[in-house]
Amino acid sequence: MTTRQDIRLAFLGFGEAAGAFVQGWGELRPTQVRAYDIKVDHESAPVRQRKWQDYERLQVSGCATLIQALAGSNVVFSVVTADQALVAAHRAASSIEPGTLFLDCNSCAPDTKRKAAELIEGAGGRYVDVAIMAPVYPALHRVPMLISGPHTGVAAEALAALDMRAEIAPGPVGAASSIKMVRSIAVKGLEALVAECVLAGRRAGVDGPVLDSLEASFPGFRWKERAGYMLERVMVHGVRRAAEMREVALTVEQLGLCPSMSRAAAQWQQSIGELAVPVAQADYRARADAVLRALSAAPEPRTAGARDDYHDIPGTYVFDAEQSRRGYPLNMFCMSLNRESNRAAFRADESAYLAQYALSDEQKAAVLGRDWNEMLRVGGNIYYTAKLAATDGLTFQDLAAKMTGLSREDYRKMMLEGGRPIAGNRSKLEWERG
Amino acid sequence: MAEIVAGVASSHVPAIGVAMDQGKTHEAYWEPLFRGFERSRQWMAALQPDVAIVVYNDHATAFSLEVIPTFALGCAAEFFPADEGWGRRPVPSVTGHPELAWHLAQSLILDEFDITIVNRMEVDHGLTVPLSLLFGKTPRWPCPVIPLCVNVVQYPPPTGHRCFMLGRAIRKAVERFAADLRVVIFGTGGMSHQLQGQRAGLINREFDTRFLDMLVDDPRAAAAIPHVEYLREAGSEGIELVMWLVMRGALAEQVREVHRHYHVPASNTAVGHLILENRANSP
Repeated sequence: MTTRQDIRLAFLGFGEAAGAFVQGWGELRPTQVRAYDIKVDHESAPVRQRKWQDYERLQVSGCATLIQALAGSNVVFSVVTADQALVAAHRAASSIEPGTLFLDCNSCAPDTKRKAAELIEGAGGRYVDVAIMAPVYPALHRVPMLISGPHTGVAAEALAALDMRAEIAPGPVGAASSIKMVRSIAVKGLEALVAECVLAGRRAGVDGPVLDSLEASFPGFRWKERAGYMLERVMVHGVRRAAEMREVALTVEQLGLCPSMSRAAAQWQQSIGELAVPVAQADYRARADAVLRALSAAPEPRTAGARDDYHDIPGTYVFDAEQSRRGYPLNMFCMSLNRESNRAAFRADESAYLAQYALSDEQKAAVLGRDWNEMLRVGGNIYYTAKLAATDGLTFQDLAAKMTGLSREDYRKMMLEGGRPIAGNRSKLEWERG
Repeated sequence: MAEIVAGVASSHVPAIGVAMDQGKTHEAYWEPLFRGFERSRQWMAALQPDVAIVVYNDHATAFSLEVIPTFALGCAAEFFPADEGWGRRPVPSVTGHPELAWHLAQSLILDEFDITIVNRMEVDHGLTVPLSLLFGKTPRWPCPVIPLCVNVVQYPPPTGHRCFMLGRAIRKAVERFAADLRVVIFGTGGMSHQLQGQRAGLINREFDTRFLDMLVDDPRAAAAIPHVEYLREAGSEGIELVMWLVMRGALAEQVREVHRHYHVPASNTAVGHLILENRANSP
């Protein structure tokens, strides 16, 4: 794949990044450039139409399905939103051709990338962790990138053939995205911080003196100009950036730290992005005022809150969409234990019985090893796993004792003494501090 | 015209059903819990409702992950107690009230609550335990029952505010039903408890007390509690309390607290119980 002509390209996701690459290549693009974007399946007809118009405008071969986009392609750019990256990898894994380079350019936590890599490599593809390190405008296809993983050699060649600027971050899949994620704490966090500062400043009527004084403290930052630019980033791309910040928070959490700042940044990015305020004027004041108007017009803050506002509750597995999707086979296996005949069949030969359900290896191991907390971690729901406990002759209280690591007697005693107190059990931070 | 005459809030801990089924209610562990329901049974026997609407959640019994309705209304003529994994509870089958249930479904849907209509479903401890607590051990439940299932297993459940508004719509619908029926409505589940993970066993008496107070006198404040607060403060399964708000929404703005009972523990759970009657002349 040393020349452009060898490359048969497909984009999964055709938004800002893909558009910028194609625009940057201009006439020098490979002969085959296909694209598939989930927006062609969107419920709203105008959204679908706009996507087909994007394909046409940039003269790429738009595909109605992901399978069409992948058939015959040997280089795939995955440029979807952070929360769709794993879904895209999962779907690609079922139709990717062996040897295909899968360039995962999404801003995801290293762990998410590793999971995606497993899927792609398992299907015979060659997975590359790609981190895009700067805005794609104005650099277009020459935007600086980092790549990592076992296929960086061939990936570097292909990217060079496409006149792209990739540098190798030594290390396994996840190395490049670690750099990107940790950098984003500052980049997207600063945007959210400046947005809050400017919006509050406008409401209080003090934005002028505040930004002037910041300029005096940090000369050369050009606060007013940057405030306008940062607001625009959040207004236009906030929802996408929030998805990335949730991945950043996950990264921070996996490093054993509490990601309070990243979470707060995700909330601002999400709530301003969702307003979908058109960006007309360049001045930061006009932009801030447009956001403020939309915020006052917006309905009550949704009581469900931001999507990840419960992740810092310790020792708790909230059965949300992600857990439910992951745990489906495990929970449906448990559900079958509502019948005595099934309980008997399961008891007679657990492994054979489990084979009827599409449990992952870790789910199977958790069930066979009766690792009750692990079952919850891999997507089990307590009301379902309780049916397995019932099959074993355990009560809800026996089950609870096992999950807390207490003996049956000690757990019962704790409950009789009023239960586990709320003090000291509200957040992971409280647990870490002991 | 039919009318909602009272509301009952009660936890629905499965172990309570087991204790009743196995005749353990006088054991030292259980006695204080059941003592708090003695007055309630007398009250209920005197009330003699024509129908009970029971707001509860299905615990992977009638619904699995295959179909997860947010609000599902039982319109069948009969509902059988289910085997939830431990065998069936030895309690009578539940007679429905299809006329009122179908009327509710129609009114609620036209009132913009998109109810799922269920013509066949087994009912679990979420429904039968509160019936046992309020009606005692009996060969036949004394009145027909309309089950209203609220999803609180798959996150997110409906908001407290939505549940409260559903209650108001139920009240309106009941009052439009032609036959003279006296209806009691149950809100079940809660109070603070967490069944899962390393934090299992969580109890928050302060939260529960505040919730009981708010539910009686300032239900709109209770309806504004965000999900994350239930999860954090009342435990992951404490979020069942949103179902109490359906019951409260179906009552008048001002209610009289006839009875309150609070006891820790029943198995893993703080048990809460209220009997509320509409204040005379309250809208």
